[in-house]
Amino acid sequence: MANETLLFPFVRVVGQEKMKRGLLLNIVDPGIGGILIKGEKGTAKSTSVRSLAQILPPRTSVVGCPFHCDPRYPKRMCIQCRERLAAGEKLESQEVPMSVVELPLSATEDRVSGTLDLEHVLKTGEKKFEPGVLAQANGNILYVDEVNLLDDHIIDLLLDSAAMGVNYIEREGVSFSHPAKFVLVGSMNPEEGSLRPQLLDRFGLCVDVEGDKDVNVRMEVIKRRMAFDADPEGYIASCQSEIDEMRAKIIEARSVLPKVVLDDKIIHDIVYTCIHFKMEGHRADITMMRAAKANAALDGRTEVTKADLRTVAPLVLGHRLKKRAFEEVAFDMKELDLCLGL
Amino acid sequence: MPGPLSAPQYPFSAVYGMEQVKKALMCAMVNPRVKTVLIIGASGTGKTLVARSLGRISGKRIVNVPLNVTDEQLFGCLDIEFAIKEGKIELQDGLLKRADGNILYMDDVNLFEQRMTNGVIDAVLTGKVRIERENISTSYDVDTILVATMNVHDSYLSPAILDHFDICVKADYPDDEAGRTEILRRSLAFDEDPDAFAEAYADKDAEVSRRIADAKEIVKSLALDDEVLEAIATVSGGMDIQGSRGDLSATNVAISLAAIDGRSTVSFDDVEEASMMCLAHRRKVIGGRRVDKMEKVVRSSVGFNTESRAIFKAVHPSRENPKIDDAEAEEAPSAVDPRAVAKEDEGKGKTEDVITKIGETFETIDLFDRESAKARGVSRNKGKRGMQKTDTRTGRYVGSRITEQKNPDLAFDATVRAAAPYQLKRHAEAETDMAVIIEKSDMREKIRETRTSSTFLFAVDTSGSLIIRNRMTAVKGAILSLLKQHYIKKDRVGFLTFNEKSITMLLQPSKEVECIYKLLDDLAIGKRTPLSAALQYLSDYMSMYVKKRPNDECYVVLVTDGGANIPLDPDDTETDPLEEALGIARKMNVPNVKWIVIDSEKRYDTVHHAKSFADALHARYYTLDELRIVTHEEERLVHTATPHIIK
Repeated sequence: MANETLLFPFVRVVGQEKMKRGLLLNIVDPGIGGILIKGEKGTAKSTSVRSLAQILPPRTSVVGCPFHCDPRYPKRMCIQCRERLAAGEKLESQEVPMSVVELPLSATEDRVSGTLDLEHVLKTGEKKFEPGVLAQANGNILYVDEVNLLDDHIIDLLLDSAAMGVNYIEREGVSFSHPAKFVLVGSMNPEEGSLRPQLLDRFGLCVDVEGDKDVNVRMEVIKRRMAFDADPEGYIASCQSEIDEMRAKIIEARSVLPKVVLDDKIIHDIVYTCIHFKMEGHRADITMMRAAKANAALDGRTEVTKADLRTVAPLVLGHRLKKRAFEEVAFDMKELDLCLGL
Repeated sequence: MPGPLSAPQYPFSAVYGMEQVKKALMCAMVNPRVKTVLIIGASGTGKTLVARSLGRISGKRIVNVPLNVTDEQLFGCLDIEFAIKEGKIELQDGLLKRADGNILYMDDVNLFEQRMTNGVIDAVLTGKVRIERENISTSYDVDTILVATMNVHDSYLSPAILDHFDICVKADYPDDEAGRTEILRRSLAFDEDPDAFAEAYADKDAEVSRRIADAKEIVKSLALDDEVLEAIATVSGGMDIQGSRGDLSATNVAISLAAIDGRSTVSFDDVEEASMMCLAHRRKVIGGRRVDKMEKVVRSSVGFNTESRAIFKAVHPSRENPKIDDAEAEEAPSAVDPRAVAKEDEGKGKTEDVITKIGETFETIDLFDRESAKARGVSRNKGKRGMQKTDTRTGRYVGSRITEQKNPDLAFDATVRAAAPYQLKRHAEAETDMAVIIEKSDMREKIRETRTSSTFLFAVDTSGSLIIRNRMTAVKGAILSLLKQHYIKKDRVGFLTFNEKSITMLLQPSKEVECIYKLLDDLAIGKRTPLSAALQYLSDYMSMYVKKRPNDECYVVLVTDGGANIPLDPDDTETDPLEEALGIARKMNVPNVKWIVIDSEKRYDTVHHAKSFADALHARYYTLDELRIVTHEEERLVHTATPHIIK
């Protein structure tokens, strides 16, 4: 698509390593549960997320299925696909690139979850479900810019679907459910209001991004952007090999992921760390485990090490720290190192 | 035909810990009279996991009630296709019909509109759904149980709804290393291969299913003796439970517990366990003094003997010297912080900024006034906080109504349903290639509901009369505690301070509550109290504000000791500043603004000027201590104590 090629390349975003790592981890293992990117304006939040599309690996999906069902997992397919299978039909599949689906702030609930197909009813008198954004997002990345400004009930809906991997619709005479497994990426500017703590916990990872204060780094940012604006196509072409390399790395990581093992020592470290940081519930433990595995896979290793934990722990624990009455709690790396015995 | 899509199910017996939750769910499976179970817990504790795993052991389907369900869909509505094609009125099954013989599941039940929750609970408890809508008048039977979950930190569920839950259990997560490690391991194994994982627990699940089947038989023939009934009545009476619903639930649950254990007699242990599951959530909350009152009742009605006092001590050693006493000792004039006094002396004649620390924070009561919200008709759902029907086109679509508007927010489904029965007739009369002919009278518009914010403007007296008794620290603690509440509920909060030097709007009402922490931390303090001027300012400000945000619930929280000592005109020595301020307070008339006075004064022997102001403003009046709500420790304490008392 013409639009995608004109995005500033992900591989050329200067710095912001934590954010980039967090995004990649989620692509390697969508089960991590998404990522929330908090940061001031102009810190390449949206640029990075949107340009992810360039490096996303291809995926298999059933031709013509509005929910992009994956033919490899018949149990998780939508009802039409399963009916077709049951009827003995062979589902044709195709390779399509994974994409970044954006949810505009003004989205209404019916467009998010899907609704009754107006035209179809008026023309035929029969009901038909018209898929919404969540259907599009199945198997893809769902990006919500300024997630803190989204209506509460829509956030609830998104997080619910993201957690269950299924979108249930019971409204306007439509009763329907379809697979909605997606990576939820939210970005927000904390100056414009915060997110309820309960919602924060539902995001697997969270990073704080800051503009770099270093003059050289800032100059580099300007230079790259100028070069891109002057000749977008040329600029992208100039780093095409890096883009391809990055994509290959992700595909490789995905194939390595099922082979990654955790030894007891690492499990112990995860649990110990979570207890030390007073994590409520078990989402932190489980997310940390998944993220650590994905991190190892991303580096092509099949064994999780303490270094993996050190990389992912701030992303997993930072937003889940218990705040005592409005105190700003910063994540303490020293404390983490103590926990991990580093 | 393939069934509806379901996420892979975690085996029931593989859920680590949560014994009480599991038991509660089993009770509901065993005894047909236990119909509603509520699971409360922090996020990520596995509430949803355990509820969903019920499908495996019961052989029933879990019917999920999505958050954005509309009431037509829930109860059933006109079958459009049938009506258009046949011209006949036929009911299309609702979600509740599908739950017949199965398990109804509501995640985050507190986020549902109260009307929905009421409807579901009513249908489950009565076993009947009655429909009177869209030309349909019918009813059908539903035999189902309701399992609901709710996040402990999330907003509030009304006592009436809570009372309709037979059982309410907390999903306590294991916090020890061994437990967490095991959970992580199981989760790892489940992720890797859900089917193999389920297989490994198949035997245990089968064992649970068998126990349930056996218990079902026992329940049918189990007889209760009066002793058990008496024990239950004593506990619930002692806990000051309103109504008999709790007693009935406790009785049914006690029976189920015995049956699950394979016994055909109910023991006192069963009663103890059942009371905890069924009664704790039904206690009354009066102001902030719930537990204190309860303790007293329990002591007087059941007899608070030395044995239970020993239990008290064991559970909560610090109770021997209750904190309140310490606090009071601190407040006594003799214990005035000498530094504060010294500063005050130093400051004579000139003004000086004194900065005090923030005192301890605590759980506070909710200042939002449910009663008045109801009276104002702001929300028809019984004053449920923060929910309001809106006229704008945002918010959740919850239902439809006949519209008169020219350009309505059309509820398409309802409109088509309204038109459907007339299609055969209209087609006979008109030529068109459209399948559905819609006339103006069919138009239905959407009823939407959105969560609105309330505005709380804190007006804090930071005058010297406060520091002399070292109250500012406590005041700050109280304010912060209140703010914590609002932060969670996303209210708009503003912050204004006044002392002789200035009346300062530190923070315009906004949702950025977090800023206040910093503001509070370095709150400067002056010496004298220009209450008249402050009231005048508040009156002007709020008059403007309510015009700007007509939909908001506005509250002004005046934190003061009421010791007005500067008149409007500082050079005026004639007027009594106190009388003047009271006069202004009496004349205060800003529509849609509620006043709350928090008395920062502590000593009981002095005149309560703040109380006079509260009366003048028709405000609700609290002392700092009245804001405090029971802590979980205190709550648990009573839990543990009560069952022992009845033995």
